[in-house]
Amino acid sequence: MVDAQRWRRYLRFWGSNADADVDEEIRFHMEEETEELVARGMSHAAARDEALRRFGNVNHFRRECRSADERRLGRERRTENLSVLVQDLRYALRSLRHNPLFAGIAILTLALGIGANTAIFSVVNGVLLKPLPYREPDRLVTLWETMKTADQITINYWNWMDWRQRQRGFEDITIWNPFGAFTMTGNGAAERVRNALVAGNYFQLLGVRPALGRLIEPGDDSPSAPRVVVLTYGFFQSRFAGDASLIGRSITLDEIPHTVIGVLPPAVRVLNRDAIVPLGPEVAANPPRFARGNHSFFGIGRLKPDVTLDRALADLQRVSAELSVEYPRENTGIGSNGQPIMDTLVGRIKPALRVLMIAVGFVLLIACANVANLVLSRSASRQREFALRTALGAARGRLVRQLLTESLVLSIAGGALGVGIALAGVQLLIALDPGSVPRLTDITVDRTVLLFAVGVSLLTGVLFGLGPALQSGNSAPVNALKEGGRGAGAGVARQRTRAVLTVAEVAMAVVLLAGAGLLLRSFAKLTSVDPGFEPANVLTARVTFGGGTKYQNNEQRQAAFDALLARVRAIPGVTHATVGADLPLESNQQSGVTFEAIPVVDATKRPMLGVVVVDPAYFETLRIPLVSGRHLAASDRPGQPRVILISESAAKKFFPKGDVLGQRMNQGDGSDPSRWFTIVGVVKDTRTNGLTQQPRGTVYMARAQEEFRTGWLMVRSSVPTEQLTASLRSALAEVDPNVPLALVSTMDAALAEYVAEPRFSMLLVTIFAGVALLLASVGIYGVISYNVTQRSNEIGVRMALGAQRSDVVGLVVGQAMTMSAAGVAIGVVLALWGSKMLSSMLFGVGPRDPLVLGSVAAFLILVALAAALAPALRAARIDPTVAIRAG
Amino acid sequence: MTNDLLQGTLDVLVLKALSWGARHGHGVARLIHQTTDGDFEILDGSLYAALHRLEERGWVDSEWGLSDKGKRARFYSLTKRGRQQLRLETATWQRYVTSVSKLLTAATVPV
Repeated sequence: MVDAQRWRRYLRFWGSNADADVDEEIRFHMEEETEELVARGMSHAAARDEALRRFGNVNHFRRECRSADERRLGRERRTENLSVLVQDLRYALRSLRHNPLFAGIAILTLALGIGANTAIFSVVNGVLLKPLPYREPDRLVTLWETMKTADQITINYWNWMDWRQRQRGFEDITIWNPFGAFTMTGNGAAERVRNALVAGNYFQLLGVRPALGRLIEPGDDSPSAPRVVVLTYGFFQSRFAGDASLIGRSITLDEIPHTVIGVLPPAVRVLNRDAIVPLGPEVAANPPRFARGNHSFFGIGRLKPDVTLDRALADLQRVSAELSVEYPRENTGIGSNGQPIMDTLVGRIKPALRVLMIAVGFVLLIACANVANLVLSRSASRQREFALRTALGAARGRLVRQLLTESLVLSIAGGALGVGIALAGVQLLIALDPGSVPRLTDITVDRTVLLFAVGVSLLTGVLFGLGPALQSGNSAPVNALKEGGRGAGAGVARQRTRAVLTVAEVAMAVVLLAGAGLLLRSFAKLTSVDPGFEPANVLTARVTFGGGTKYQNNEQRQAAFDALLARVRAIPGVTHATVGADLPLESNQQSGVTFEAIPVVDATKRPMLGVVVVDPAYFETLRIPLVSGRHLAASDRPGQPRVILISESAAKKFFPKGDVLGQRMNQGDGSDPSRWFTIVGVVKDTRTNGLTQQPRGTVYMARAQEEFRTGWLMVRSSVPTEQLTASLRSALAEVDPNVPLALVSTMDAALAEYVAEPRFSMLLVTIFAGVALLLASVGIYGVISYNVTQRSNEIGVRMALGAQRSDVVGLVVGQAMTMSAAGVAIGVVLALWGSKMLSSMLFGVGPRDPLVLGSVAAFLILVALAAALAPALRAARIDPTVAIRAG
Repeated sequence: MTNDLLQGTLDVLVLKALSWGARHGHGVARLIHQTTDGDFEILDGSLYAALHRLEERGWVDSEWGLSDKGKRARFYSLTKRGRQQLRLETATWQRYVTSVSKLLTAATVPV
């Protein structure tokens, strides 16, 4: 009994025990009360009963006392914790203030890592994670038609009508075409307005609400409905200054008045269009353009809630099969397919974003390793401080907590600065906009991004802080004090940790540099691709002599183009001018063709060739050489036999014996006798489908022998192209003041657009790799340099025993080489293993390109050598007498 | 009487009992029983509950010490805030008693 009490008192010394206290208190009360009653003459038993009676229900009151105590103690503990935190924080801030260089470098390093991650995450968030501005976007599916020779073709209007009637997997299907343009007149100078045609159910299906007025509805689709137009927010703001009174008023598009019925919200952009019109009236005005067999629309379906994508697509394919049977002439071999709308929008950019996210993740890891290195070397010099505090009674947990607090202060400061870097970085990213990143305007540093930054900061702090903190808490105080602050005991373990961290840094830097090297090399290959024509000094602009009443027939349009070309060629400085239906890198029109001399085996696998209608001067202007035969000539007029030129690779493919000249080709299946052409010449290939795709084979038709209402004016000049724009405009105005000169650009700029996206990824990964390299070399330098300081005594002894200075340099450099060689080896293995991820972004270089990997490895070894050289020379200058005496 | 009122009254009595100096729980009970001449039937247990409750609120402090007979006992004393609370409660109580007795002893119908 006495022992138990003494034990409890001993325990109480370490902290109060609420339960035992209450019990002891009540027992004391009972004893006192009983004694008092006995003193008044009661028997002991009676007195005890009376005391109990007066006390009431013991268990009940004991419970009340205990719970009150527990609440009080809990609060006290929380207050104490908070005050410890405040104390730790104050201490951390003081100790960092005393060491501003350390704090500055650590915070800056972390800020770089966290900032880069936050910036890239804001892109990922904006592009991939933010929901689309539509109702239940997860159920939206993009749809298209397929052919045996093409995975993806646009949809025919009448096929769509039948889809809507017969399919069962989608709530509804809509179609749209974003490639039209109107000439807007009546508001100052004639202006080109990019339009999209949409079906009446388009906005209902997407679930979009107007910012102003109303949007296009099914009723607007009827052929007799009045002409209406909806403006996109950007166009409404930039062209009409956001004037709300425009709603209900009329604007003139292609000489037809259209009533402005509404404006789209800012978040909803229909590609880069300005104006949206219902397609019903367009179809009614020009039925042949939309006849079965002509494909011109993109499709979007909304899945029924309980139907899977696969089932809905299979059902749609069933409808397509029915249509192939019902309309064999137009629909043989035509199928249908689709994918979630998000995949269509961002599918292409996803691999690049994934690579960027991994790259910045590596940068952050390297930053962590570096700061951990710094903290470790700092904690080595603070060893005596910790030992002293431990000896004076600080618990190990308290020390660990203290060090962790310091790390978190660093990482949060780094995070705050990092958000600043991210804000600037996002501006930079938007400025670098390759034009191919979808939804780029959705990228902002918003709450999600800030939460991400806070999370990354905290994680970072724990990541680089916990290891060093635990290690410092571990060291035995006696040793540390005895070693006089040199810390050789715990120092060995610490040194090993630092070496491992450095090896990891080098390995990650190798991976990043390898990625950057591959992208750089691929970019170099891409920019050195010969497009097949000379883009320098060529100005391009789009001209349409089309809509309205002025141009009734092809002759009038052709005459307008003739007049325009004559005036342009007369401009001083212009050496050549031509028009063509497409620019060379983006020939859109493809056609199934039949060669008279080649028998048709399978009607569904007819050869496909690009078809470009051009003015004869096209080849001279773009400097595309003639291989054999003759050029198109002014004499190839209507009424004369139709002639074409064919590109070299197509000529070789279809006529390997070289007998191509004079061959006859039909555009189509041979059934239309008016579409027979004679091949009169062969020209060199040009890239027709971007820079990376092999030329797919093209035939060039003479403008004078074809319908020609819209095309690209291409002008080669001997003066800088910028000076030409005004002269071109006035030349066009002389021909027709109501026709705008649209999309004025240079061929060089058009070419640059094709390399913009690879340039974007290459630039970013290179920047990240540069940061990684910098951090890794700082890491190597830090470790080697610290090691030299630690071993100066030993080096002194060696030198006193006869070691040469060159031996000392060799010793130190050798250590650096061992670490970096290990890092490079691991890095190369990692790079080989992960390189597949890059393959979709590479052009003309394999993901395991030995040249890139070899030079990266050699480069890093060189950098490590350079980083180790300064400390090595310092070691060589050590004066043995001084070093040994100091030890 | 409602529980709240009963508890409130108990709290004031306990605070008052401690106003003459630190006392252990049994001492508080003895004092309250003596001064109220047994007019209230107060269970000793509820006094302890009140003491712990008051300590939780920060109005009293406790400390282990030795009783006059040399036994270990828990002594309670008023904190500064406890003293303020006692003054406040006393004033409120007196105002209440005055107004109730004014009404009860009124000779005429108040206008």
